[in-house]
Amino acid sequence: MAADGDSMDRIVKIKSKDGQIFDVTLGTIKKSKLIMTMLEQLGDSTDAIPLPNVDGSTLKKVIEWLEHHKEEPEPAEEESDPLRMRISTDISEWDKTFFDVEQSVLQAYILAANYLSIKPLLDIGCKTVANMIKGKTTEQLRDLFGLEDDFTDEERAAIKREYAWADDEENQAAA
Amino acid sequence: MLALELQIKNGTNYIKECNCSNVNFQIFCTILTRVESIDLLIYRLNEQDEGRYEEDTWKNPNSCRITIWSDCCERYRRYIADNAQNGYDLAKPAELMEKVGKMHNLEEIRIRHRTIQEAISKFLPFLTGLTDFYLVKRFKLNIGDDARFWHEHFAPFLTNNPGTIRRRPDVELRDLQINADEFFACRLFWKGIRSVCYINVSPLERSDEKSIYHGILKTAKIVQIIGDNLQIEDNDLLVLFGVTVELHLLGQTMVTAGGISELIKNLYNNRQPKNKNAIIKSGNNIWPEETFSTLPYGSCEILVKNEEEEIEMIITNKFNQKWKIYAETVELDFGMMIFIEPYETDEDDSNQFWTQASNLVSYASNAVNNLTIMVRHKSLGEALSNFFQLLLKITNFYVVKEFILSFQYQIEMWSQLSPFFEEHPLLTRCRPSVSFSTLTVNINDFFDHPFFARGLDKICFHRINVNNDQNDKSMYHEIMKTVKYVFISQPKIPLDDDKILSLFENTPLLDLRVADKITPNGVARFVKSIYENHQAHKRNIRIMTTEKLEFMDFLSLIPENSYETNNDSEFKSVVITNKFEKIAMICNFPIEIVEEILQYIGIHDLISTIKVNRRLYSIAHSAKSPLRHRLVKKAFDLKLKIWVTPGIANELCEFFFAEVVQIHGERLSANGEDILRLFNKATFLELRILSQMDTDGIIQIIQNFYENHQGKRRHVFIDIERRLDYSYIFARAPGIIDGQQSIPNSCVMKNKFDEMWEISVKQHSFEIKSHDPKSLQHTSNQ
Repeated sequence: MAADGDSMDRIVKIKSKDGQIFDVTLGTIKKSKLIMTMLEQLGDSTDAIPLPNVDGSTLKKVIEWLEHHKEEPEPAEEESDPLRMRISTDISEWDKTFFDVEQSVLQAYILAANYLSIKPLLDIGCKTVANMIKGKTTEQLRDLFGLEDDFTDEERAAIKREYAWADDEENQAAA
Repeated sequence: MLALELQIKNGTNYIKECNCSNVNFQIFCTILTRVESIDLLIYRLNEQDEGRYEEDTWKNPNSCRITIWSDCCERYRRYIADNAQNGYDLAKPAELMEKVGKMHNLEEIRIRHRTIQEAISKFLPFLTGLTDFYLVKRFKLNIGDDARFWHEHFAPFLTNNPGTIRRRPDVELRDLQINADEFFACRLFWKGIRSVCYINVSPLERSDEKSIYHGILKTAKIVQIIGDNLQIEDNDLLVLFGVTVELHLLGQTMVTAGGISELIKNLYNNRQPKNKNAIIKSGNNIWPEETFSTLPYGSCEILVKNEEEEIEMIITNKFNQKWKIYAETVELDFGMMIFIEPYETDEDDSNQFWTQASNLVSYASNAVNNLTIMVRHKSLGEALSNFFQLLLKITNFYVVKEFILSFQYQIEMWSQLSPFFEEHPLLTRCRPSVSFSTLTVNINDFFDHPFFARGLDKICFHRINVNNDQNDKSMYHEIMKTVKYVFISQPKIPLDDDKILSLFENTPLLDLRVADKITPNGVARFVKSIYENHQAHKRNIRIMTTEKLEFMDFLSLIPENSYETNNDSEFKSVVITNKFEKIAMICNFPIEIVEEILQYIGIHDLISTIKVNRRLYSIAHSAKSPLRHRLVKKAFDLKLKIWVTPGIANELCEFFFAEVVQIHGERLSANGEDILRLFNKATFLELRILSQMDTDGIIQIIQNFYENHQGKRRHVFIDIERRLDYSYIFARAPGIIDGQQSIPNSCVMKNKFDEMWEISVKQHSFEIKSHDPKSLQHTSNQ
């Protein structure tokens, strides 16, 4: 689809799971590959694009994020290297504030970004979760994410043996 | 009646509560005896061994203890008067010797005096005479409340008669303000002290706090300090008590886990005396959990760790000495009660409480459970005055965890308490609780008080009227939105559906009896609110209504698939699953998102994460997981030789981009895809480590070389665990030039860019390298 200045001002209607309809410019929504693909398929239709996997409140926030980042270029080509890309977990202050929400809401943002194929938003969401994980013990992570330890005693012992090499204390002792 | 209930808890100490009324008071007080005593243990020398004595003189049958004491307490003075015939005069040394000879081991001789001055004046000459015959093996100095007798009589005497007491003394000081330099200047202490016990000892001047830590404390083998007057800090622990054999520090609010951590490290790194023992109680959580992870593996063994915060560990230090470390949370009940019973004047025993208030701390610190001190006061004013002082004093030592204001029958007492709490709105950092029972109150006036500005912890209404009208809704103040626990027990609670929802929408614990104005629809709206909103904490809600409720009444506003009813048991029950049931965020993501997240974290965080549960573990270990190669990183590390190309930082992940990679080790779980991804830029790759790659992986690598322009010399050598079949591989690899084999099991491949590559496949190894460098130059020039 052409992406000149005029077409970027075109208003696109998108409809959330709970029936809320949002008007957004093409320039704002262009980062969503899903919507861009659907627009190509729909042609000149002015019907609202249904997004059955995203609720209204989440979609509103996603649009807010897209609006804030609409002038930013696509990620540089070199970042497409899957190994390079994951080295940095830096997040801008604005995005930190944006993602400073309850876990359930953060989860909704990430799932929406994944569904709508908005890679930059998905990346920041993943980095946010990664930053939450960093430096925590297994037990702290269970508490943080409300997860149960469903390993059997045997499995737990096996895993402990399997990763004994990563245990700092053992490394020290070995040294 | 007004009852003030105060619960104070500081981790190891727990103080509870205070009740007041404005009618009469009867206060019972356990009065601390204010005994000042001088204990001497004397040992008679065996005549045959004159000039010598055995080390363990405690076993000497001729030893005895003489306690010379007087009592300043009014009550005890009467007792002495009643027994005036018994020994005002101190026995002469010779008489005492005769008496001692007939005594059993360690029997006490007590000689009473009316005053301490009288005791001292007779004791000192006696002591001189006694030491002519006996060797004093142990001398214990015990001073409480007032040290004047020491400074005026005893210290000068011992300084002028240095040969009298040659042993290092034991010192016990209690409820004193002292100048340590002045006190320990006596010649008695020149050789140091054997033990010291401070109970609520504070410096004479506040600005002189640290002077109390006289260097002489370092000489004591046994140190016991009770109370926080000295403000012992973390740094003081090692400086003053690093070599102390027996250390008891109780009620210390300044000691933290950091200080304990240093003590434990010292315990580990240095040889310790055999009988070393330390008990430290602080207002803080002092268990230095992280410290143990810094000690070498195997040096710590956990014996007990339970939900009661009881922890017991064994540490084996560098010198193979084993030490037991134990921590627990002790809760003590400790309180003052004021009753509304008739008060009978007793001049002697009245109003002793405040003079002893500082001892509250020592009681609590000494782990006396359920101790109740009842204090008599002459008037309400006096009681309140003492109560306010007590609160201020206590909050100097303790962290108030719970503060309950309880009013019954009347609330007039509040007008007298109010100014104090207005003056000290932050007396307690915790949010207060309020209980009203059977009284009439103006709620708005009451809760507008600054003491409640931070909200409430609990609130309890029982049969209260507002302006004599139980139906007045104004009793349900907006402050209730802040309360964690609401209990309202009224014949009628005049709150309608809207009000209940707006006030208690987020209340964790709610008990309403009986909400007569709430309708089934109101309950249904309440349930709907719970269904629609994420519940951040546990909630327990009971609303008793006057109308009979059926399940369907309150389930009418939520989807049918969100609840399950159970009619099997005697009582019907329903389980509702709200919208936010699945909040286990990371586990609800699709695999690719979990992998994406985990790629951002380091190896240690990754391992911590996959140990969380089975799903995360399985995701990380699936055959196609991009995380798998990282989880065998240790195998890489066994013998890893990496030459990093210039300009690339030698960071953890950067070796993937190195020009030259040699890895030696035992096993490598990377497959063909992994190797291509990790080492696609390596010019020289030598994996002398058995790879689990199979034939298809080899073909994949050959195809990669065929499909992509290399443009430079490359050499890849991989040891492979599985047996390889060269004929099978060559048959499926593209671009093989027949008849160009230079050695058996080898062939030459020409890729799409006319680059020539020599491939060699042996039983357990695979090698591909540039065959004709000119072909590379040719293509690169193109």
